[in-house]
Amino acid sequence: MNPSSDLVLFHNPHSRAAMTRALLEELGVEYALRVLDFRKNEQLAPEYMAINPMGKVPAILHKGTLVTETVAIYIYLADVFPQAHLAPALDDPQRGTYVRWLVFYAACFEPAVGDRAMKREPAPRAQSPYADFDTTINAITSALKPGPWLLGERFSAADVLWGNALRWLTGFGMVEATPVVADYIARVMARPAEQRAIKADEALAAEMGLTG
Amino acid sequence: MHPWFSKLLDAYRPAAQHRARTDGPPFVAGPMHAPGPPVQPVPFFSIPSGGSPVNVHSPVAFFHAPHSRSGITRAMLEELGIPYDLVTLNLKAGEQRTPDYLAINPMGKVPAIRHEDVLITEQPAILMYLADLYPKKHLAPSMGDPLRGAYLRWMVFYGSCFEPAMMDFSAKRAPVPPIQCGYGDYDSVMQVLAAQLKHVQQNQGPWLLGECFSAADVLWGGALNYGLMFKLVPDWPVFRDYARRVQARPAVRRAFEMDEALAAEQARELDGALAA
Repeated sequence: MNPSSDLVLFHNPHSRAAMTRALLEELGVEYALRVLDFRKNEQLAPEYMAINPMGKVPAILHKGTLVTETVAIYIYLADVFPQAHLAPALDDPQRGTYVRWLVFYAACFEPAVGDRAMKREPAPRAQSPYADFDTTINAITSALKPGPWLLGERFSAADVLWGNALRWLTGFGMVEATPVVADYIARVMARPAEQRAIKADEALAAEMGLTG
Repeated sequence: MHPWFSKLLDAYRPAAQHRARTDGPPFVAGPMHAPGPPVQPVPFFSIPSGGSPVNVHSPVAFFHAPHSRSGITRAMLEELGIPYDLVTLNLKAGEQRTPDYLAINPMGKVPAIRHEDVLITEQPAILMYLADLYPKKHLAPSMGDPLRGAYLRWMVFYGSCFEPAMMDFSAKRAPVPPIQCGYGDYDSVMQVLAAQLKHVQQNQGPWLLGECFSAADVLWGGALNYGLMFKLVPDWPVFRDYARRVQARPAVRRAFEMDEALAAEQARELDGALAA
């Protein structure tokens, strides 16, 4: 990999950063990896904390622009590489729906799944912006139902995010693989770019001695 | 018919009478139950077709409740200075949980907007959508601007880190282990935010991205103001000063004052309904 690339992904194959790698493969752009080894707490080293003070991957560096937060990275990259047609233009009627479901993932789904994973009581409904797990999973399931993609006939970066997130969470048994969810995951994962990302991260994990 | 729903239908009529404007003729209230063509709210999972660009001149229908997070979206609409049709929900009367509103936002939350046939929920999504749709208002760094990355990061950080951390603090819950969750813990979220504000103020300018005021300031100024009011964020000078700076902007001030009037009106209506 070219270390002087215009686009660098701060990465760990066994983390949420895998979702960003999948997007990079879908975009078909050249990128370099900076792999952080969690066993050595490299994500908490001062060098990396200067990049993301939350000590989390992913982060990307693109021509001097630093972006953290998976969903922010998704919006940024899909817009910056319009030739891949993974984001509706800023004045496209589908733009609002697209941004809505991307943000919903970060602002509602992840925190609600976190509550469920920890077996915590959801925060009071009147105060919490993300209600509870059942409400969030029902909302996204209804949005996926018409299909085949979140924007109907049009595949977008939002599908890369949700396909990968749901694959990961159903894999851990955190989300039930109902027919709507399972079919959607299968549709996303059948894409060659997704297969490429999975294989590349499996190879990387093996190289790092993370498997076995 | 539920009074709120008839208000909703009112707002969808072409010559909407609830349009808030900063200029033009004074507001004249129309009859609340005037007959009009039946308009069904678009269910939240309907998918608009792509194609011709959004007509930026069509008014935004804004689902709003005073004294809630949606005050931030109202401030954004005032900053943009675009016409919007206000659809007011009374949270104390539970109007955000009616089937009609759940068809718009299944989370039962305000804000939501409808622009042409598109429904958008989630405050950062609404702000990002609007800021990008009206580039001449300069409320978002354009594509190719080196600040675009930081802008998106802070817009998303609000929903993914700040709000969940505040909920943990508010409900006195132990944080999720950092490896499992995206936001770490309350203290690190607050410190990261304070460090960013201090850094820009010392080196670049008064706003979150430095010199340029943006939708990120509408969001964060409102969020910190709310957090300080309910003692959900630390009472640090850096937060207080920044929130005060944002609240001092004429458009933000205007949104706040209109909401105070609206809240008083809702309280009277609710009292009236209970007395009846």
